[in-house]
Amino acid sequence: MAAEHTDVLVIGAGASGAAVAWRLATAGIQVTCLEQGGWVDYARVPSFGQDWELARQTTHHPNPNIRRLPVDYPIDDTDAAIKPLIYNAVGGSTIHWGAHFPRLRPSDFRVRSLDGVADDWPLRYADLERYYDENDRIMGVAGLAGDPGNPPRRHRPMPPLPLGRGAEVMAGAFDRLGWHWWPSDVAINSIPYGAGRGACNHCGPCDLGCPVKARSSTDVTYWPLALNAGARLITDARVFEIETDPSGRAVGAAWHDAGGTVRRMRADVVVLAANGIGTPRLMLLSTSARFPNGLANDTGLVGRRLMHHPTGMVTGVFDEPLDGFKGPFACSILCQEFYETDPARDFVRGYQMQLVRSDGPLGTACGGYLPRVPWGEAHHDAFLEVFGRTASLTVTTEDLPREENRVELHPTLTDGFGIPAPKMVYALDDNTRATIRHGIANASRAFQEAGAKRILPQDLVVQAGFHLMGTARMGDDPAISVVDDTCRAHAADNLLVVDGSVFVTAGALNPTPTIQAIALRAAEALVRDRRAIRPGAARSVA
Amino acid sequence: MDTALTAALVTLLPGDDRFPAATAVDLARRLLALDHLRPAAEAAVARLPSDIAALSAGDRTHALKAWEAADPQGFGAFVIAAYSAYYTHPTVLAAVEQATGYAARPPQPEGYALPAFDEAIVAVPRRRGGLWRDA
Repeated sequence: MAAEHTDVLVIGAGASGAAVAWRLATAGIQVTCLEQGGWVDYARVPSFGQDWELARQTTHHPNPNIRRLPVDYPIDDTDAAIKPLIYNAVGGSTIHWGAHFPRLRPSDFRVRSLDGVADDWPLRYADLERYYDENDRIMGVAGLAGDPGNPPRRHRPMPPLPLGRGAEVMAGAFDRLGWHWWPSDVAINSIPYGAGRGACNHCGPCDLGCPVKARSSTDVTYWPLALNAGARLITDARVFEIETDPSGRAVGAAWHDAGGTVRRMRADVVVLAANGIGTPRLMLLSTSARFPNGLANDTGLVGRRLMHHPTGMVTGVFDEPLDGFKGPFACSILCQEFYETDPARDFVRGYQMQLVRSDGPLGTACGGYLPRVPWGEAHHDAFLEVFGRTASLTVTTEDLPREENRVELHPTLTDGFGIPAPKMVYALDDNTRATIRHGIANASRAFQEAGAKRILPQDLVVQAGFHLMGTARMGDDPAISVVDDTCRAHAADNLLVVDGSVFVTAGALNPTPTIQAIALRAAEALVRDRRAIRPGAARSVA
Repeated sequence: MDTALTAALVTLLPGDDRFPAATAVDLARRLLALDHLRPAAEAAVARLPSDIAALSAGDRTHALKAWEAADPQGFGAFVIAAYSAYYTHPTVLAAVEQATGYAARPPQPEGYALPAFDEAIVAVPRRRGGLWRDA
């Protein structure tokens, strides 16, 4: 039986894949997306049940090695100082994200020119600005224009969410210290916005899936629009190879369906959007005579330069109840006072401090934002001292790219379908450790100013591999990069990579708005240049 | 029910005048009934001194501290499993509500009320000049 054909085949229905599918479909291009997971049923999310915190620790843990769902693939993280957090579903990892939605700063794209480290990007902030704006409109962003820490931007589509008592206390401390702070841009509805999407009711655990559909995930934002525009989405499709012709051009993909049957689809263009681990895994799996080391991997850089946002954490314990279990756990205010390079410091680049609220009873007892509550005779007093009375500041640092930090194929470990699993190899460098030290000292100073009675720092949050970047970097020079500034592979011009893999450097801010802006820009370039990709491809375009 | 497991759990979570002891909520049974938590409980049973139930409270604490020092990861998994079963038990959640006012109900569908954002709070940071480098 002949394989089906589509103009553009997208692998992965998460943050970037959804954006690309929407943009292409609205341009009249026939686009099909293959997604390993399925649709989330919001009538059955754990936050409706008394065991919701148990689900957070087990079946809905963001680490696939802990939740171990059949739809997941294992990731060997034994040699990784930071553990991977990803999700497989329509919406990808936006299903369990916190929806903190800052943009990178202009300097983040010019770190070599400005600070003499790493590499400049082949594009600038200004090149992405209108795509950031368009993405804000589709995803829905609550926030406040006028932040002195960032370039001016349009009026936010929605007013800020309630900050909560913890943020009010910390904002006062920042003001007295003379430090920057501002209400975070968040991809959460503060008022009804978008089709069928209500306003946040401040329930807390956004990561369990938002039944109100206030918290943006691409299954409730981009996908309904993309499907209405004619995009096709195939779920339970476990892709194991991008197929190529003898010249190395992509011709389609092969996958297992839910029953294990191998399926194939042909395409004029293939777009990889499977995250900073899944995309290099798939490229390394796709070997051929032309690409013996993996698809489009002439440089050996596929899987290399893995970057996270290494995160320290400082928690303040207060006498007054802060009720931090109310409101989106990851979003309220952020401080960028120490974001840019300062030659007086013993590190380059910088960090953001993001205020996070607090947990329910189980999350408090098990630790995370603060150390685990001790067991034994002192347990119950210790629990009551901290429960509902803490606020935490992340110290989210910029991770400089190093080729030894990488994703590779595991020699023996496989997923449930026998497909080789990825292995992460990752260690922090001295610059990052110095940055975290500086951040912990300043976050502690802020809590001291705020009147915290105890201040509890953590040098490194291990379960914090939520931002996966750099494993198929972009650049102008084919000798030192995998894709160009429009995300097209240098070695196969009908292959695109549009997820966080393409990041040249990491910045120190949550990457999803930038990932999506880059994806929209790449999709627009594909629409504009489709005749150059394949002359016949224009036949199906309106 | 495994007496060693029960003895270990009540040593971790002894209860007081506000919170029930692990034994009062039959935590060992609950732990063994939860699929994701059972492996940690079974590993604990294999690791615990066989006579732990016969020890005094002080000696039970000493035995658990010795395990914690020798194998912090394995012991930590047991503690997290114990807390997970304990703090999702309705009786314990009712005790939390009684002690703190935290509602012993799921987060949805009610959510929580919070005061609306008041823009007056940004008066100080709004006065600052641009902090970003144009590039």
